[in-house]
Amino acid sequence: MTQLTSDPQAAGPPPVETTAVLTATRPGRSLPELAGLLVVLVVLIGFFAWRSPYFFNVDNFLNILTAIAVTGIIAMPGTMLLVSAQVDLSVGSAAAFCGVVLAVVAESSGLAAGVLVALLAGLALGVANGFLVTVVKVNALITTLGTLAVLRGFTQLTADGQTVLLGIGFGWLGTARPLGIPLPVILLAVVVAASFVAMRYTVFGRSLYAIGANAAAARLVGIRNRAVIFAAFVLSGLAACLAGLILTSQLSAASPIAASGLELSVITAIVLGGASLSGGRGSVGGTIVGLVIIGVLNNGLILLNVNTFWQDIARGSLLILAVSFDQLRQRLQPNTRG
Amino acid sequence: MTVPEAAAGAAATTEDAAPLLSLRGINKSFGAVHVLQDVDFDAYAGQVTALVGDNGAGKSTLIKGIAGSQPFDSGEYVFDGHAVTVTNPKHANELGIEVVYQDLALCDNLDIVDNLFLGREVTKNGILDEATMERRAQETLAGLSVRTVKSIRQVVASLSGGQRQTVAIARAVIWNSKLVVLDEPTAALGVAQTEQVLRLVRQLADNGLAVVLISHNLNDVFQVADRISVLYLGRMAAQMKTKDVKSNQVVEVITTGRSDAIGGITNGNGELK
Repeated sequence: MTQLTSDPQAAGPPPVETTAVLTATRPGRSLPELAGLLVVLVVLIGFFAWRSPYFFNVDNFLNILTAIAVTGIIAMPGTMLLVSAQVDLSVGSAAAFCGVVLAVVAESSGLAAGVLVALLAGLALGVANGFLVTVVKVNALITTLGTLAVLRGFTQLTADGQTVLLGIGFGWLGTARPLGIPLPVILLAVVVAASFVAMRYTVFGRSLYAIGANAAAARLVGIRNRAVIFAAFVLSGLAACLAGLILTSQLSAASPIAASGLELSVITAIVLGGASLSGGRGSVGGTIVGLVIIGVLNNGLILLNVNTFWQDIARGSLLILAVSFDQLRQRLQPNTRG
Repeated sequence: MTVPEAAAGAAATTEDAAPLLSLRGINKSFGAVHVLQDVDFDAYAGQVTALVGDNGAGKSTLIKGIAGSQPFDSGEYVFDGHAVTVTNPKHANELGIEVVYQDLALCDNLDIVDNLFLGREVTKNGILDEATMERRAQETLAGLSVRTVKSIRQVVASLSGGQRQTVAIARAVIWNSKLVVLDEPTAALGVAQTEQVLRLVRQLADNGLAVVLISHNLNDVFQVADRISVLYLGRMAAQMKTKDVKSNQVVEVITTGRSDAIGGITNGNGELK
């Protein structure tokens, strides 16, 4: 009975004698779930480091992180949504829309106005999705599938089907390197840190997990389900907008077809990181691991001169493998209910 | 309350105490359906009051009204000596009224502490105060003499049915509540786990809480209840003390709304109404 000894990591005072059995040992919360993925990551890194002389160095790692920054920023509120059994498919369209809005407004009224209007647009998109899902009560999948198409259309109309060039100096957002670290990576780190704290240490995060696992129970204990989900959608809109601005800055142009299919990369990373589409499971840490695996895979395959079409095949196969493996793991674990 | 009880027995000490919860003339309708008609109901601190009745008798409607999730249409709701109007669950919680629902309302993916404080987390500067919550969880479970869970950080999905029921009940008492309503707490449990939960129910009352136990199982009722209230087709058919009646008499009231031995619709003191 190792449980009888009180856990040194437990923050509370040592239990009194009569409650000695009630230890606060966390039975290894999410680590075992992530262990398999981390092994995959280490194997991938080892393989690419062995096969390519350009892979294992700091500059290349910064490349990988820059490449996953856009996906990662969106994947943070994406994780919150998936944990609460919601999903936002409109993020790719939202990113493109905000980029085009920025470029068009900046052309006529200056850069500051462009950024402001673009951010307001992102906010409005999040509010619209949140309103449709929580007030009108349209299923999130259908709502955001609809807004995905609507936004892409509006983006094309706004840009008149053309790529809008961004003349004036907005390149810094996507390319500046304070302290040698690309700004998008720093932004990603900030978003990740904030999301980690929110998911793990606040009532908001706890509520997301509760809603995803048992929405009726969450309501009964007094959680305002709709307000929590609404907030997550607003965050998703804002994150998509920020990602769109970074993309636009990196290219110095806003393409109306930018970020097509980005929503699928985002969901792939989140699910790879252990989230369940039915809600209740998933974590910021897991999503990060999922993102890095995809980033390393893409980067390594490019360095090895593998045809880029193989990247899609590799990523898709990895996703299916990871989820299949997770299903097996759950079935083999005796004390976990369906 | 002035009826002399010569052979009152164990319940004598609380005999003269006013009920903690006292409902008078409660009515509730859903559309044209009059679900509760002129219902009186009392629950006493330190006692288990069983609420029994056939399906559709109005038990669930009565507790949802007490809990505030479906407020009563009319009637007098007196709690702890004050007339109150309970219109939502938060309000009931503030008064010290907690309901443990039949489907438990636990989140499988969260651990015991998380579930105990769900919806009412303790925070410090916006950050969850896990240390305080762990301490209070340990105190509460110890106060209920719970010894069957290994760790309060166990995920609820890994608990047995009895342990889950225990967690649900512990959540109801962690806020120093005064009245706990238990909706069929033993419905899905085996023999040993039923015993475990019934002991816990008795413990709550012995700790001084007023307990309302809804049950279909008269064995359970006779084992732990001090009083039995029978609803029949939306009316309070009888409120009696467990020691004054026999199981078959209670069954008669449940199924027919009256019993010759008990005397039909009575109040808590056995008087005809």
